[in-house]
Amino acid sequence: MMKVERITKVVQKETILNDINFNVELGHIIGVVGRNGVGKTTLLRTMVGILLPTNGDVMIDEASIFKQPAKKQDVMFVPDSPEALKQYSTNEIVRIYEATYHRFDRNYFYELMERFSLPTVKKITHYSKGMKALFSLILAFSTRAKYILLDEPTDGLDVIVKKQILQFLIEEVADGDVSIIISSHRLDELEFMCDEIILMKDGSIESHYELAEMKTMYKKVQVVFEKEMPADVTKHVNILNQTGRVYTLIIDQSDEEAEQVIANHQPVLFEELPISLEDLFVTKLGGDSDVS
Amino acid sequence: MLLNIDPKSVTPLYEQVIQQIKELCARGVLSPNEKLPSVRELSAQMLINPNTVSKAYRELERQGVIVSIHGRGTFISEDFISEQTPAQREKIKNELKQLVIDSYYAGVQKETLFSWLEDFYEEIGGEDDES
Repeated sequence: MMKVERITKVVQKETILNDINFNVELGHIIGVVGRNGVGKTTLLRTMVGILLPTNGDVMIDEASIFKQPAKKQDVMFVPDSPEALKQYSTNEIVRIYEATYHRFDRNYFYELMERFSLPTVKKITHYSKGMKALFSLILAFSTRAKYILLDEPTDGLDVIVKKQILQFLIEEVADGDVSIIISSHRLDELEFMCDEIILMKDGSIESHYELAEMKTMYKKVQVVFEKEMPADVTKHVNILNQTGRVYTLIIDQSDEEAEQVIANHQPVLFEELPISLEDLFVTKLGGDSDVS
Repeated sequence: MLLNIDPKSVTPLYEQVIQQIKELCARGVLSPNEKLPSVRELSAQMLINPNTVSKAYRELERQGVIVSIHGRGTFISEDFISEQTPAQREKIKNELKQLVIDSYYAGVQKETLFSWLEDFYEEIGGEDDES
């Protein structure tokens, strides 16, 4: 089990991460979502010890990765592009990784290279973008680290490579001895892949759900009233969209009165719609529209 | 084996897996003793969470639709239809009742409903008791 305990990161008096807590169980896929600049990459980099937290700790099997650096063998961070490696050859990288990660599995590495038809090259920079992405993942999983942290692993890739990558990730997790923490803006991909979703806002965890549970916690409905939406309804719901008199609403199921209040006004139409992760993202994080 | 998950459906993903495997059995696409893909294979193929697939498989096994044999894999049961529990029959009966009520209010005639039933039985190729 990996535990992120009360991680806070302050850079030049600005709080980037604020009291982040969560656990990662083995064999799970956790999605980290949030708007650009919310601190997702900083969180991942802190979880592997590239950055030091201002406060808090990252524990693997009850040992701090900051106090016992050997524990860092169990975590691996895959950045969105492997800039640091680009001047090396494939074989040089294998040697560097073997020297760094004691459990690096050379046979598995070459097996995966063959499976994805990746040639060995004199310089990693000769790989296409898709090949670089695959190569980074192959390297990461060949270290046999238990916790693999991926920053935007499918960003800018064609659908074929993307599918190969997602399938590879799922297979690795299905084998049971590895967990993946994945930051992504591709909510449609994460929606069916993840066990849990962590939604970040302003450097904090806004909400943390098991995906199956999320869909029972919120309900998405389309409602039309005789006239415009009554004021007392507005207090109980989140308006996702309004087109004329047709409102698309998100109702928090813990608010037991909400549906009753709507029913009291005898809506002309009240219809449940399937809710997606994107709906929740917009509801939770769409409040301020400025881009950061 | 190809399952088509409907991302727009309100039905939870693991239940969709359950329903579709049952449907494939009923239509004879999957036959008794046939081997199912492993959790690893099916989840990778469908790009869905492996724990979702194992949850569906566990439930299908509990209902007697499939059996898993350690070290050999997961198979369709010899005779899964007869192994449905009374509670499940009751559930189906209630769902049918609700459907009849809905049809009545939607102005669907009894005859139309019967002909649809016939069509569906035709479609899944299931035998009925009339001969």
